[in-house]
Amino acid sequence: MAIAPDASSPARFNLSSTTAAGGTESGTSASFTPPAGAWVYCSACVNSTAGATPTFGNPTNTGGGLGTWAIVLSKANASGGSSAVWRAFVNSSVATTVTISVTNTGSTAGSIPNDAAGWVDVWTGAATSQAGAATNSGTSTTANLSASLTTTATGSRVAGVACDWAAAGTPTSTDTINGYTQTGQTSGGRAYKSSNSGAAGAQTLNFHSPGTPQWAYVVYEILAAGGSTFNVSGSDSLGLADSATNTLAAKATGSDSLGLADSASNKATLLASGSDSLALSDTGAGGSIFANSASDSLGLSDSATRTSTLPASGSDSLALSDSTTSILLAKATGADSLALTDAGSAILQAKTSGSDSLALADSVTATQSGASASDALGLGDTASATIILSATALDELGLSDSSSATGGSTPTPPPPAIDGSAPGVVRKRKKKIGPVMRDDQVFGEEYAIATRASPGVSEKTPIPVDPPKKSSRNYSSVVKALLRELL
Amino acid sequence: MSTTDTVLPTDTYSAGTYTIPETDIPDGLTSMEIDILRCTSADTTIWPDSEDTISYEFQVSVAGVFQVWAAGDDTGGIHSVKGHEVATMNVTGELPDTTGRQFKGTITLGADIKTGASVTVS
Repeated sequence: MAIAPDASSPARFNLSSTTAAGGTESGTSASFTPPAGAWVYCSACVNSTAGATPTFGNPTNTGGGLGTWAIVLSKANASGGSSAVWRAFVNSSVATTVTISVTNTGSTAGSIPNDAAGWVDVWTGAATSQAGAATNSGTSTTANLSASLTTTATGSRVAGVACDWAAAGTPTSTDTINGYTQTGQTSGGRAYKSSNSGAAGAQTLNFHSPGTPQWAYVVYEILAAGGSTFNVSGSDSLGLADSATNTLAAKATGSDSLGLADSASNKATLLASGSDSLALSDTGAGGSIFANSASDSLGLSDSATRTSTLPASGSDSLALSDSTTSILLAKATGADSLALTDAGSAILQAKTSGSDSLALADSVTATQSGASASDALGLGDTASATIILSATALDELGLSDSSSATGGSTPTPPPPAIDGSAPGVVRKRKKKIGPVMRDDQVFGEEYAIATRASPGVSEKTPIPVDPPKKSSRNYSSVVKALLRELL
Repeated sequence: MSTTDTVLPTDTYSAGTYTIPETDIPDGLTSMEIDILRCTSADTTIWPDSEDTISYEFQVSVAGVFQVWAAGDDTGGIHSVKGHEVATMNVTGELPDTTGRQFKGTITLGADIKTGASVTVS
């Protein structure tokens, strides 16, 4: 959310001088109710005398909804007149008033009502921490002055206040300004850029007096929320959405539920650990999606050309979906459940070890590759494709291809083709057959090869068997065939 | 510590833009002041015409990149603030907190004007 002035900001209010405390300039705003999470900036033009060194004590507020006040910057003109800016975070949305009281202004001429002014501005979309925001201050006798500020971050807003002790008239500005003049006392204005800045760099804020001014000015940067980095811990539920070119980054620990959606050329980065539920979605080009987690439930969706990388370990449930030319890569270890879906020309790669359950589906020209050890695998391809399956030991495999395709397996060499066709993918099973029985089968050819059976049965003799069932092997038919041979 | 550079010696200059070359700013100094001489009762030959304009733009480098530090303009004649004549059109401000800084600038006269300018860093 971009920085913006909030409509709850109250109107400019007058400050009055008294001789108390070496001269005091004070005044109170009208009541206003800022939204929680906003920042309140309070600016003052002070009618301090030449040579005075005012004390810019923090404002006070009613209602209890604001956090601690802190001064942003102040500037006293040795020739007379001062400016100051403070800020406070809105912890809760409560009706409040703000009171400014600046002492040691040097005023000894008795009470001067309404000789200066204060402003309270509510800003939404600002970062919760304004640490490091740029400030600048100065003095000038230039009628048309552009004070500068070098912002430190993208999307900041530049604002400022200029107090004219010469009271030369209500100032104007090429920027947005709220100005006033109190004849014979002070003139001044609170200004801000009409839009947020782009990249960090020099900005200027304009104050234009109709006469000969004696400015004391303060300009400052308001940092935008985001920069798109959120660090959270605990049982949080977060949702980040971005439609511009930015970086979205989320770091989470604990039992978090996170969702990042991005529609432009961006980079979405998600680092998570613990029992998290994560979802990343990106529809633009040029970025990358990356997630790294343990024991997580993850979903990545991508509709543009890019690389999606998902390393995972632990008891993870992973799902990757891609609809264009991309590379989907998942690395998993442990008891993982993986699913990769690709509708475009893409490469699906899954590398796993341990007790993993994998499913790869590709509907167009693609390359799929495989898994190893104690895995249950399912690969499906409906077009020209290369299916590469690396599997060893205790695996249960199912490959399906409905058009021009190539299937291969490593590291176990495929058995010689029984009918002269190219070797296919090997489906192996050692369970339940006993120590003297091994069942190899060229999937789709509906052959089995009996090896090390009883005497009289030559090895590698093709034996027609019943078509295998996908997930439940019909070993009884193999046994029956062997018995017929023996008898 | 402060240093003052007379970037435009007091003289009568033709209308036009005068460039202040890149000048090193000593490390550790925190503020800068630009002063351009105005008309006063003591010397009414300096920038006397209220129709004549002088403008300035000064830049300061940060990491070798110059950025606008301050800019402004005003008209001539005697200017007073609450009864006191103002001797210069000036601007003071903070400097970026870094090292290896330089400043440069331009001063543009809208007519043939007698004036002078200095830059003070402190």
